[in-house]
Amino acid sequence: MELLGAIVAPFLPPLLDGVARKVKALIQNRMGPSIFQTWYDIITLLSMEPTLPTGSLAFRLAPYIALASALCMAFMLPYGSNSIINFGGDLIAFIYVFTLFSAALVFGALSVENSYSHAGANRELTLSLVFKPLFTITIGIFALKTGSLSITQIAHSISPSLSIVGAYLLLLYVAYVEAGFIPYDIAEAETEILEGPLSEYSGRLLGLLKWALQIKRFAMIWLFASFVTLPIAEGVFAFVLQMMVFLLAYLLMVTYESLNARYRLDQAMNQGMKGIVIGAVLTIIAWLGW
Amino acid sequence: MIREFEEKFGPTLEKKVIAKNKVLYTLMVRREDFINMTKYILNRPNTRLFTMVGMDERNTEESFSVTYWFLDWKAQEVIGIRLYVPEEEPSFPSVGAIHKGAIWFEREVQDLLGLEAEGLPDPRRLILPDDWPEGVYPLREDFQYYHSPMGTRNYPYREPKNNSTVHPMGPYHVALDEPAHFRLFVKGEEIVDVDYRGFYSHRGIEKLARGRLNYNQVIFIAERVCGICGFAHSIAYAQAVEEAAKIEIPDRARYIRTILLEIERLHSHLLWIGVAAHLTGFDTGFMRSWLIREKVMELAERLTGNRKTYGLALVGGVRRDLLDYRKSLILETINKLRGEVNELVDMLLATKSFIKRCEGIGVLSKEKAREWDTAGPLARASGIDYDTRRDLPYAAYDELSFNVPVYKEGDVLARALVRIDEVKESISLLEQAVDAIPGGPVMAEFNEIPSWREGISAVEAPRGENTHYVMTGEINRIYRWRVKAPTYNNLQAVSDMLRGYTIGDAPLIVASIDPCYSCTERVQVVDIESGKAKVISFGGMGTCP
Amino acid sequence: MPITKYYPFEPEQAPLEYRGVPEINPHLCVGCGACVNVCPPDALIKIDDYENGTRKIVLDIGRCIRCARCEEVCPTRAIRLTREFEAASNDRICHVEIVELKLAKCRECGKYVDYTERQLQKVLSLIPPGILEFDRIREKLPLCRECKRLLTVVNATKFEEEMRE
Repeated sequence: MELLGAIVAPFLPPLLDGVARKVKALIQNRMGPSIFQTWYDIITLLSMEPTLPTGSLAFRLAPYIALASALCMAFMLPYGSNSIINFGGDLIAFIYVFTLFSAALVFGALSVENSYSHAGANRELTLSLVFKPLFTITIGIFALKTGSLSITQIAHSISPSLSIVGAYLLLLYVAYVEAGFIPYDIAEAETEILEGPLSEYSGRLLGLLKWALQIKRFAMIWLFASFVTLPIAEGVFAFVLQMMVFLLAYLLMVTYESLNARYRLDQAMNQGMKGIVIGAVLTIIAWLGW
Repeated sequence: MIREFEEKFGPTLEKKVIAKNKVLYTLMVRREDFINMTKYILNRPNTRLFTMVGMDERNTEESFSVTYWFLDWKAQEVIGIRLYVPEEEPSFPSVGAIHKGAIWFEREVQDLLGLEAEGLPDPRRLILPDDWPEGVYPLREDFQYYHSPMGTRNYPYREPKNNSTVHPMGPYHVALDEPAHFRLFVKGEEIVDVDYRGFYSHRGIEKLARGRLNYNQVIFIAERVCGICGFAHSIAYAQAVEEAAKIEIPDRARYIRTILLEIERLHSHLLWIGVAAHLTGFDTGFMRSWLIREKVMELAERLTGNRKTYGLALVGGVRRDLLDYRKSLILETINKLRGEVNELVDMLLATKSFIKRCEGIGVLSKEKAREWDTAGPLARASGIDYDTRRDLPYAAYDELSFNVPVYKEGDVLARALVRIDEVKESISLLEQAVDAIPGGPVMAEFNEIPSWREGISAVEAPRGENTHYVMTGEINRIYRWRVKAPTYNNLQAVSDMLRGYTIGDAPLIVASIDPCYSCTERVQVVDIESGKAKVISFGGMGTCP
Repeated sequence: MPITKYYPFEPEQAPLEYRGVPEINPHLCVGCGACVNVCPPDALIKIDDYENGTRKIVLDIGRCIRCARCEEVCPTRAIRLTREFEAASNDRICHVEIVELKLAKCRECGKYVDYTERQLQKVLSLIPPGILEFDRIREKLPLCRECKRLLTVVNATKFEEEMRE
């Protein structure tokens, strides 16, 4: 089961993005592209030779590292009751590859002499400095209450309590932010900084980066869906329920995205800081036993 | 204003009356008085530099001339002061040293006619391309419009100071409709200073009009100065010629012109709302507002034969009567529009993330707005209560009633609100005009247009005042045509508006003045092989072009 | 309700009032050149060949700005703007339409004059028949400039002699 899920996981996200574009288009009274369009774009990009603006190794490696990190994130998550990478403490590893993704993006962007890429790298770093700790605190609450450091373990043993409810809400917020939906796609903003870190990439490297971003988005929302369904279901039923919760959450997020404008960096950071404070309070509540 | 000016400076000037409220003074002697006169006029409240025209009058008056036109919009009077600049000593005292709004005008005269302004703060090249040779001045009479001289490339950009780096926005950028180069000097994300290099779309229309076109052919070129506000340009030109030739146009023509001008304003403001939403990432707002705009475009297509470039104005009136069976069409469209515009505005103002992006950004204070002589919604959002439709009435506006929205905050949100209010006013104006339109002919009868007469006229385009100056010439041709678009003044204010804000805000701030680079730059392409000059029309969005 | 159309897979037609690509009806054109005079971008040009006696009116819809001034001034309604808006083509020659007309010949000297035969016929059809007879227009009209001048001088001298008698 989990093997099947793990094999499908890398190939599903672009299709989901196509569905998201179709939903957005229908909200805007137009037809929109076909749901396979993102796949067509990625396949076209993967078949083209990249133009290299610099000989730097970091530039050429960054997309591969980003893709690898995103895939690791996806493989550490449970499909059904289990995940294919499962060991005590894999939560820390998850946070590690999650941060590695952002680091790869930033290194790739900083290795080029382009002020737009640098602006994008700057934004990605600033956002990471606020939202990665927030993510850690949120997951930390779950870890504290269930007494385990393995994602699948945690997912199975969540039981409701005050701090857990708060943690669920925070997790939804962080999943939305890290998935890069519109109020928060600040680092890859198209109209303002010409796609930031992605602006100097082309051809195969760009295709890999875009795919990696889609997989990361998938992983964040799948994590949320797992934490919601696994405490109450087992086996194949759990997998089906995961898919349904995932799709529901995804569609709601896409609808919310199409009704919003993009935040400025300082506005997003202020929100993130408030989130950290709330997370700290929730951690104390969890430690006190509620 | 004219009376007081005459009392103070009268004796040394030669006076010529252009129209009821418009007077031209020529300085015969004592050029030193010139700056005092300018200061006197500009220090009064409610005055602005209307436009500035440099002319090569060596065939008739044996020297060049530089004319500054000023407007007092509360008194509704226009004063021009003309200075003759001899060829042997081609320099004149610079008004740009005391009034920032005159800087680009003087740089343009330097580039195109070779007359130097003494004391100009920023004497770099403005209009001519980087590789145009020195000493060749296109607007002089001895330069043929089909010449294209070669030179070497060189442009002195300003260097960044105190550890700031250059973040080039343009010439190609996703957020700009047309090429323009804003060199942002940034520290991190914050913008410290701006240097602007524009005029990539300069077409030399004024030289083309001088070369080989008669009055009714120039009006088609005037329409193609801009893709969004083209009709306003053609009307301003027609009005200038009508003033020079003392032609009275029939009432029905005035109303038809008003109707089409308001339709143009509607489509332009709806376009802007969409673009502002798109630049902040709010694509749903963008799609919705352009969906509404489609109705206006279809209305224009049914009325005039084309979605843009209506082609309906001629000197002396309007070409066709368009309200025969289509009057009800206008009323139907307006009724549908009203409800939809209200819905759109409610949706936009309820989207907190969009409002947060627009509030407090790109603030332009009232003093700065006056210094740069900004016009249109940009000025009205900063508290300057000036609207050419009310203050220098033309077409049928003196018989219709409307409000002029003025806000004080001067930020992007204020500009958006001004434009939204103007959409609502336009809808009401359209209704009034369709209701009150009289019968009669649509074209005035007149004989020849006399030569060597001058006319100056302004029209409130969606972006501000379009000012056209015309001097008629011989054998049915124009001698001098000067186009001033509102973006000419507004772009100069952008550098003040960008300082202190972040890179992410820069596209939104630049877009909030609704820049129309085509209007500003008036571009023409010369085809070297055939020796013929082609005019390329730049669509607006395709903006403005 | 999505409003996207499937153009170009679904045909799109412009409304009745649309100013599209101009087209000349060669049966109606008399070659007067009014359209050439008035065209702002010189999309219509007139080429006279006095050796072979032809006049070509050349319309290039690539240069045309669809202003419809030609349609307004044409005396025979030969040039009209259609509702076509698709003008893209691989070869610029597809944009050029040429109407070739015969120039009239002078009755006296036989040289080609600067107006066409059709222009002549149109003018003769417009003048009321009484005046055609009285002023002997059919003799005077189809002449070149020199012959016309000569005829005027001859007539004037004859008239003066008659008056003297």
